Amino acid sequence: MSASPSWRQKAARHPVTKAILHPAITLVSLLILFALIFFGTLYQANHGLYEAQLRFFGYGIVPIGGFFPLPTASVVMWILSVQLTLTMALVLRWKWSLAGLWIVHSGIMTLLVGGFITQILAVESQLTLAEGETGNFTTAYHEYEVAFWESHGDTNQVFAWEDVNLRPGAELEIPPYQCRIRILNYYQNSDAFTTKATNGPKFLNASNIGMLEQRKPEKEVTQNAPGVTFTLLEKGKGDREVLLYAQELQPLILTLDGRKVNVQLRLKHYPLDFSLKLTQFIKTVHPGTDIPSSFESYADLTDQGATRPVKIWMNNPLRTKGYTFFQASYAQPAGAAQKSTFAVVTNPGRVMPYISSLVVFGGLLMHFLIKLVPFIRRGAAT
Amino acid sequence: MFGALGLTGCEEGKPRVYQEVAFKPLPAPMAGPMAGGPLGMPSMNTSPVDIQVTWTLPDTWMVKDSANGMRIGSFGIPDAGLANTGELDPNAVDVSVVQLAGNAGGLEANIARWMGQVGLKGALEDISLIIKAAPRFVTQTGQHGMFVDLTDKLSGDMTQSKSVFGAIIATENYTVFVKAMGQRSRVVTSKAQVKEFSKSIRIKGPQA
Amino acid sequence: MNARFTASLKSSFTASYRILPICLAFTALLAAQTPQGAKSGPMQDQRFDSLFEASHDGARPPQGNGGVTSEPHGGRMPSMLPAIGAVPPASVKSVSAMETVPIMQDGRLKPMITYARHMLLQFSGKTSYASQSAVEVMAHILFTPELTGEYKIFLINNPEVAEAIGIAPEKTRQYTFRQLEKALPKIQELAEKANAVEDPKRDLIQKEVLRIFGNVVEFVNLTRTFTYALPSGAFAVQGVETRASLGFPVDKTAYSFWDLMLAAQAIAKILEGIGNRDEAHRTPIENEIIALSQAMYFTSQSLHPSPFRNFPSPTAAAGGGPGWISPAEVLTSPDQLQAFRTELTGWSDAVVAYRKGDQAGFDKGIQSYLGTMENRAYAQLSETHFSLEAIYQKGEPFFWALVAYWVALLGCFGFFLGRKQWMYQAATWIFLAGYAVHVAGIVARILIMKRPPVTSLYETFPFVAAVSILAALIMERINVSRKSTGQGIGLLCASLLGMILLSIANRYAADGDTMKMLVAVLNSNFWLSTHVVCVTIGYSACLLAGAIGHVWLIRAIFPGDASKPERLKEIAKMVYGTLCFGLLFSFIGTVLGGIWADQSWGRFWGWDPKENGALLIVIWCIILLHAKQWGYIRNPGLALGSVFGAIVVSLAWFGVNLLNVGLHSYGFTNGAATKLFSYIGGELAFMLVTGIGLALGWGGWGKKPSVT
Repeated sequence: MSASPSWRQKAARHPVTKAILHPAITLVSLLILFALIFFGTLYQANHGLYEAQLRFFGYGIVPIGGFFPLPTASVVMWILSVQLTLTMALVLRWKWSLAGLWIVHSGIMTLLVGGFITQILAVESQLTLAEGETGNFTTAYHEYEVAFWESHGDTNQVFAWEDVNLRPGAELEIPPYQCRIRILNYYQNSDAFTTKATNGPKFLNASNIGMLEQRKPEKEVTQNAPGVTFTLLEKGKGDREVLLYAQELQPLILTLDGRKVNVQLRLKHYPLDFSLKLTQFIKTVHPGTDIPSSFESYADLTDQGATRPVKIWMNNPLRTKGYTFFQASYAQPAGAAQKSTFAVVTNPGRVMPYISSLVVFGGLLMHFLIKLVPFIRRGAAT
Repeated sequence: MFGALGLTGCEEGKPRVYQEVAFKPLPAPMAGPMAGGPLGMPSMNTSPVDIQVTWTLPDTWMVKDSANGMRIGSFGIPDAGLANTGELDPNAVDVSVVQLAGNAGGLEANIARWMGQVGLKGALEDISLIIKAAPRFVTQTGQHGMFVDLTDKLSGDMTQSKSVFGAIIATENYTVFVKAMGQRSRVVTSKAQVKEFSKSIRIKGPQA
Repeated sequence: MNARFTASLKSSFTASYRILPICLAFTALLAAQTPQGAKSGPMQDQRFDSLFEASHDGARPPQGNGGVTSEPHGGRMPSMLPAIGAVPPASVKSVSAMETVPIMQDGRLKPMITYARHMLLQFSGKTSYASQSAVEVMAHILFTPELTGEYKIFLINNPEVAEAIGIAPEKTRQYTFRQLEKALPKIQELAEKANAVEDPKRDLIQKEVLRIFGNVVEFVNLTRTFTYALPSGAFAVQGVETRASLGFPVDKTAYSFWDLMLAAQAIAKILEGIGNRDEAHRTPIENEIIALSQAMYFTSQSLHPSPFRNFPSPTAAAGGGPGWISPAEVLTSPDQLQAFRTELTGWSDAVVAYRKGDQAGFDKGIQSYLGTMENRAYAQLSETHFSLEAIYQKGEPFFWALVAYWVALLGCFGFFLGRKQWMYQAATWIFLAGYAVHVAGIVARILIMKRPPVTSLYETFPFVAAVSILAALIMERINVSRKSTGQGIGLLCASLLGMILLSIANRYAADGDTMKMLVAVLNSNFWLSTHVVCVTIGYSACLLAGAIGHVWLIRAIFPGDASKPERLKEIAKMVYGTLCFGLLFSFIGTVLGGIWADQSWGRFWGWDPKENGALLIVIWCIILLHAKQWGYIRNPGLALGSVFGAIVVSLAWFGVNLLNVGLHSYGFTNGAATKLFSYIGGELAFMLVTGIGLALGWGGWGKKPSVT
């Protein structure tokens, strides 16, 4: 361990490496990160988390206070990751007295990698069930899709385009029904009116909505009510204008390719390969107050024909087949069955923070002990 | 069973194709049958439909042009002294007309929602009492409706001063809600006008 | 009118098994005499007048006795307190028997002493009034409400609020119930308006109005807790024969609702005997009994639930455990009335004895209640630590620790000026004594609440204080053992931090009970004890580093002796070491928070303001440590940076809470925000001044380049 290979030293002394690894870059990056988190938090209070995340923590450049441009957090994180990787690969010496630092920095690497995996691969969705209901799919929080489906008995065969594709002018194929749609407008947040716009087309709609009007996005992205209008192009048939509004509870039924097809703008569905039936929801409060002391959901989990009872409660999620179900919310409507909402997460990187935090903690502890013990000894000796 | 068969993630430019088991929501609890006109089940046939809701507007009411969301009408009832003066009354009673498909989740759920909006906590029994006590009426076009009066309900919260008087009209496939909300005293004095307005509602169309 | 009255009688009288026979008999009587029943006899009219007096909220005509009549509103203000009788009630010397009476409040069973102190704190901002303890004041409110109208126990912080509700502002900022009562219509009007505004958007005045309104309502409800046991004109039994027929003493006229309740069977029997006879054909005894039972009906209608919940109720079970209810609620349910007869009588006896000044009778009544009730709620009460809690409440450990820290701080200054070892020794021992009390207080809270030391913002103050003091003491110990020139620095910082943080804690405690129940997600002792404790230890260390940084900067800009450079070097080492310690715990606390979030909500990191605050501390520590390591900053930079670190901690600690309120809503009106911003402003000014000082070479700085 003591002898450093010469290629390492050479590479470390290379001017490009030196420039990249200049400590000033690290410090400035950290200071920028500090500023981004500070201003991002302030921004979040006014504009909501979603906007703040897009603006401060995504990729790009953000003007602080309207004029002072800074790179966003993801960019800074990449810079720091590259520096950290190079430092560990080339610069940091292998010495026992530096073992703590080695461990700390590999822990931080793990943390960054875990964060990256989560950012790319984690899927968060939710499932709301009334007592007695069975869920076979979860829904996204704020990502929408235009779904076309036919029912075959209990099963829906779904074909869907996600909201990111719904740009005005885009033509999207719907192969199962031999047709296309041409997007007229997509609103991230909109108001629906029963009146028809004066020179707008007459839309097909299931709820008698005549037109949509754009609204400023809400502070909470989940409160947006998107809407889409498109022209349905089917061979041998006249063009039809369709309006879909996310607040509609029921799909529009269209005849496509001679078949009755449901069409709806809805929160993205994520099918599960098992089902969960909510049998009971129990909320308890501290006596004499409205402060809840616990929420508990009892459910039956059916997988491959086998059913087992499960309990999901605060701080005690259900983990199965890569999914984690958390007790997230509830509703107790008057005169109807109680409802329980689960946050459902699949995250391949979820163990990374656990590992990295252990590693970093161990490393920091080790490093400080290595430094502190001689300090005390030296003092005592004098 | 029908797991993520063709799930393609969230890539741009590619559609998602998947199978799912159709979700069967519990049937919404039915309200006690309304005298003469029970509310219909949610309409299963939701092909494009058309109904027209019209009304006769009391001449003192202000029309708010910003009909938002699913409101098909939005009005303010100003103080008698301010009516037709063009002055805005910040405390005007807010009247909304909303039309929803089917029974809109049930009579009880809707009344509970109104109660919640004015800080009333309603047990199921209270709501069924309200429904039982609600006076019935028939619209110009023959649909049955009821008046829901929450103005005599006091919330436990001593400082809550808002209240609601409203009407619920059921057609075969739709439910139309008229809701007047504002300061209790103002809602109470506006009751007669809201009743008159609700009775004037005409609902026409093939699906009505 | 008659039919309605009968119907309401039927429905309401069924509430009580004792009243039930009276009710039925009475209803039958009324039903049989429809025409005559409509007009009530002269006796009944009188009864109704005095009844309103008894139930407090009726329109009592002004007494016109020239005493305390209220001027505004045409002098026709009915008081919500009962009138003081010809013979004012007495009180007993000691109410210590009451101290451990269990009361359910905010979801927690607490001894009377905690309850009374927090009520009085909530009303007046103090825990005693006019050399009476909180329990004594509470006893007056409960047992002799008519005497408490002139107690100055209502705090109105803001003179503008007093003016707004039409009360002349007083210097003490304390007002009486009578003053507030006159202003009640205005208070209620303003409170209604304030309530219409969403909580985060309320300004200081609106919050104050709501607080005052809530206090008045709570006070009035408290005064009515024992209405059932207070003798009232409505239940005066005039006829000697009537008294005899009810088994009452012949020479006593004044009775209470409860006295009549205990004679309910006799009353019912007489009512049944009346049959269909109308008024003219009834005996005077029968007429009086009818009037009395009517008065009982109206009283039972006007009994208010009190916040004084001291009866375990099996039927009011809420959320699994049995709920606790107030006497008025007990009286409305037949089963409970029967079940709690002994306890109700015990209280009734205690009330009567209290008003007579009969100490033995009072103690006996309370003991009778406690004895029966303790058997009944044994399971619940065995879980409590009432005697420990009473000691905690009376002992006020954090207050006495604060006093000790003050003294130690002065001792430290003395030591630095005179360098006398005996002063150092004295300061150390006083400090340690205070610290022992401080830690005992935290331990007592852990035992009482059965949960980790930090669960609320309030609890972070004593805990952060305790941890940073511990770290400072360890440092002091190391310095002393190394015979370092930094002797006393650790003690100084410990006293400073202890003093500041415990002062904040004591201010916070004025908001009410600091032992609140937790919402579901926090109800996890494991995460509370790991994550929260780690994060707060991180806060503690960074604050301590900041405090030592202050010491460094102040010493650096003032001239010193030859040992100064060496001392400064030692102090800078302490800053560096403490920051390392802070980084370790802030990091691990933050990550544990992420893990908790992952366990509870499935997301490790959500950019939540509180998370971001903790992350800011971590990043700032990393920046400082690396900048120092790489030589970008030297000791002055490290000291300045550690002071800035303390600002970052304050932002993460409270700034985030203000943020949740909504940025534009609080402005500079909110007291906490103003204090936080003045703290930050002060620190920045301090950094600026010392920074400039160092640059200009004050105190000989910069002339000896060896000090790095």
